[in-house]
Amino acid sequence: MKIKIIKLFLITFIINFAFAQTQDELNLLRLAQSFERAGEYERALKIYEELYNNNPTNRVYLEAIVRLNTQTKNYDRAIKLAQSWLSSHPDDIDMMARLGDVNFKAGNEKEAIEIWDKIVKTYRNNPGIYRMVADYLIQNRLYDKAIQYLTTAQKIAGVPELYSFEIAMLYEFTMRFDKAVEEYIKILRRTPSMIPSVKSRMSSYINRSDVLKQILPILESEAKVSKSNIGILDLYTWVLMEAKDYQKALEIQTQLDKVTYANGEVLLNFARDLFNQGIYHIALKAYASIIENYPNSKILAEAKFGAIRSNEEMLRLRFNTIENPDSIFYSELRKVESDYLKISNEYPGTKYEAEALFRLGLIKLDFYFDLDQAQRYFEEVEKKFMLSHGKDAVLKLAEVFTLKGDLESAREKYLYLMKLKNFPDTLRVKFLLAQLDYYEGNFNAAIKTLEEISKFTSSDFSNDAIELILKIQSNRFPSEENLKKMALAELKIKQKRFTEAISLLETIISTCSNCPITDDAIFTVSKTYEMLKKFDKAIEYLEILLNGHPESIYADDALMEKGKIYQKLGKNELAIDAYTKLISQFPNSIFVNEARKRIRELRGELQ
Amino acid sequence: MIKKFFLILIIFLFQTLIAQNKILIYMDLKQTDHLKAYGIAYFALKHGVDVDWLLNYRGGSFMMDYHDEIANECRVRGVAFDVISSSDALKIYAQIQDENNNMDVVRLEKAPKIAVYVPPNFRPWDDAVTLALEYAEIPYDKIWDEEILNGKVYEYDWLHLHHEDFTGQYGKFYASFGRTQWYIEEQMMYEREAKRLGFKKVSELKKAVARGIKEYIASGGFVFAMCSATDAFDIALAAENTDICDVMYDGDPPDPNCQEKLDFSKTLAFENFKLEMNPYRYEYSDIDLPPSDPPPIRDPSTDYFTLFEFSAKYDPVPTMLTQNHVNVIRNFLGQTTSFNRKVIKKSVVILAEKEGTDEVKYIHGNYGRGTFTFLGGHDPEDYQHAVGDPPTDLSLHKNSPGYRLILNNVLFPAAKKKKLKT
Repeated sequence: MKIKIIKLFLITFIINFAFAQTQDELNLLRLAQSFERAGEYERALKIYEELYNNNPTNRVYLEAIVRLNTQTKNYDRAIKLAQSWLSSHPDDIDMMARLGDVNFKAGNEKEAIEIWDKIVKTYRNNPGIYRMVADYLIQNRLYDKAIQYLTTAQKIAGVPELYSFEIAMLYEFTMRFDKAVEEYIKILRRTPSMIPSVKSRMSSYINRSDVLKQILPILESEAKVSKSNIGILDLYTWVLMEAKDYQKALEIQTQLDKVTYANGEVLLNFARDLFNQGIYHIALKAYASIIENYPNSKILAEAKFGAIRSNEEMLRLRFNTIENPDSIFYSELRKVESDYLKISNEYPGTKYEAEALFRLGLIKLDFYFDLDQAQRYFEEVEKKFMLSHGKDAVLKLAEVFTLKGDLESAREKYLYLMKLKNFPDTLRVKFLLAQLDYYEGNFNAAIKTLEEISKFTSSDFSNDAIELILKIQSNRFPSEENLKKMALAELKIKQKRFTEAISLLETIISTCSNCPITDDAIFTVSKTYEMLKKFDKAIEYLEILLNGHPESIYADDALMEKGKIYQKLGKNELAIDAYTKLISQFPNSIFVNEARKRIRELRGELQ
Repeated sequence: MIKKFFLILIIFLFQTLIAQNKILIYMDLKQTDHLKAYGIAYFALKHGVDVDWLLNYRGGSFMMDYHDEIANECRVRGVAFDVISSSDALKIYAQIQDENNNMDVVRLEKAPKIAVYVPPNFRPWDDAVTLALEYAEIPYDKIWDEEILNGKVYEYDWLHLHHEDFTGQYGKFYASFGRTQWYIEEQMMYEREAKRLGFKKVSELKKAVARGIKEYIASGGFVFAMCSATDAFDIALAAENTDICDVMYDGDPPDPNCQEKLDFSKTLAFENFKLEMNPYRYEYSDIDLPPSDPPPIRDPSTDYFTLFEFSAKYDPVPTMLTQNHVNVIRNFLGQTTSFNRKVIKKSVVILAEKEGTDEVKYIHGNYGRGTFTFLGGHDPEDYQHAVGDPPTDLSLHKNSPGYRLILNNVLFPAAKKKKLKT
């Protein structure tokens, strides 16, 4: 019994002693690690050495000593320790690779490379070893050598995309984006679903023209081979869009649509993107392709409508840039109109009919100024589709009535809109109502509404409202008659009845040469002549204003307009002269910056 | 015949009268575009017209002979000016020369040739000086390491350094931007350039460049540095005989005794500073005050620095450098925001400071036959300009007092050297 107790006591004592010793060692190790983390390398090293001396077979301690000696530039000691360890542990590949690393840092580049080469030669069939050594090479920024090892690993493993992300990254580091994209292609060939990762990696440089130049030929030839690979085709389209080669992008999207059996869905999304970006000509082609290739698809109607819209937008762009649209233009426009009519008949009661009719109304209004026809289409939309598209149509109808001079009907429409629940554009409509009062000479009513609008200072209409209030208040006296004529003239200009407007304005000028409203009238006559492209007359009236009313609030505006007209006529010297006068005589004018910019453009100093 | 004679006489008299008129570009609060005014002064100098810089007169105004082209250029560029008669000009000169007024006239005679030290690669931040020069329409050339080392820099009167890292640590952006494409490309490009120019490490190349710039100053060059180019420049000079870069910057660890090995006799402006050896920390040393990392918690609306007032007649150089229409200026941060007063050498002149603190914003000193001026902060009109932020539109800051400090430096080398008063 006694012996048993003694034995038990002894065992307990030995276990406790051993545990205490292990605990002490662990505490020391933790202390050394914390010193190392704090950058106190010498203190850390001392503890590691003590631990290693007590336990010379512990690799963790040795590794720490080698690491810290390297950190403190005691390369010789680090090399010696690593070599000594390797003499008894020749299979410790990681220590061998580390020995290469220390040698490299010590400036022994040749020795380092020899060591690393020896490792991979010894384990030539193990791709993992190549990867491990490559990590040391990457740490030392030996990217080319690392690429060499990793590509060898790919060959050995017989897996072409092995380490491709790493290799691509190294090619990106060395700015060989063509080679990087080849690695990404390898990944996508095998796993097309990796496309988001590939795009994310490439997104940081894809917008660079030098990169696009490098990678486009590679993707082009790959797309010919990987005809049904979704990842490759998606990547290629993405790059083509960046390169603004929309035509080619469309071809690839068409291919993608086919291989994914999307029945035009891929093309439709692509067409929508292009339309939203204003690339109407390619959007049109994409829509046309859907119409041609998927005549039974459920997206056919949208494609048809999109094609017509694209055509319309292209005509609008031309209309805004050319002086006199020719017969070809109008024949194209008529084709768009007939297409809208066709689609409205083909899909009755649908949103396509509603939108087609609305677009027809807009075409009649904007291109032809055919108010009756525009009214007819807007009324049709109002009647058939009040809930979905009616508000826009009613707003346009009110505009048409204003242009026709039927201000009562216009007011009725605006008031109707104001009564609608959740109508979002009440301030706009209020302003338009105030404008109607102004045109009719009901200045008090107009001011009342305008003052309400001006309280909403965050709205765009607030400024317009204040401007109109000022105009009314400063020109009502001595007589409201002239202001009424002025308001009517403005309405006539809006109605494109320019001659009548000029006649009204000239009455103001001749009957009241020194009224506050006269300079406004002169300036408006000039602007009206400019609309009629009678530039000589426009300049003549600007001169009348500048000479006869030099103190007018429109004087700076007149000089600016004069400069612009001369610039339009190619009389650059005269334009510069007008702008310079503006800057000299009205240094605080809001047009000064624009005038300065134009002078510099005309002097060839700005693009 | 007599009529003809009188006509000629009248024309002659008229021309003389016009020639005697002066253009006064006032630089006080009435000026519409202070920054472009410097461009007009440069324009006049470029066209052979001398410019008088009226120190402390209406915010440091410029006066020059009247020429239609200059007047017209002022109008086109939006610079306010007055045309004054010769007698009015004389009155102004008399007022300036009065011993009771802290004013003086410095004649500017030559448009200085300007170089900006800038790498050829894209960088996701802007340089306040190039923004100022471009806005003021003052021409400049871009030069880099090779031009410093091969002596091309000596062709220029004025050299500007901005947000550069002469320590070879790539701006210490590693922690935040080490994986971004621009950083990687920059490191590769710098390494290639170092090898091409015969240096094993980028840090060695940059140290050689710093020494080259120092020699340029010694031989009479004017250097203006901003943001991190200020402290990084002096650190590189001090670290001539040691390695302060960690492994991610130059491939090997720093010298553990690098702090002790710093040689402060080599620096221009700072001494006894302590290096920041944490490679992940966005800071070089304790020169920068307050440190950039962590970002100081400050209220931009109450953060200002004050310009010192110097005697214009006895200290024209610091007076020129501090010409402004205000003397309390809104502060702006940068990787190096201000300089720690405790590490500034005694020989350096302090031009601006944050009152009641150890933060010195703007300093100037002489070395050899040249001078250096350091201004802390990155962009005077963007309180905390971050990497990737869009460039500041100076047309929205035409009267920026901070940008004026930069442009004072540009014109300073144009000044005719005066004999010092004894």
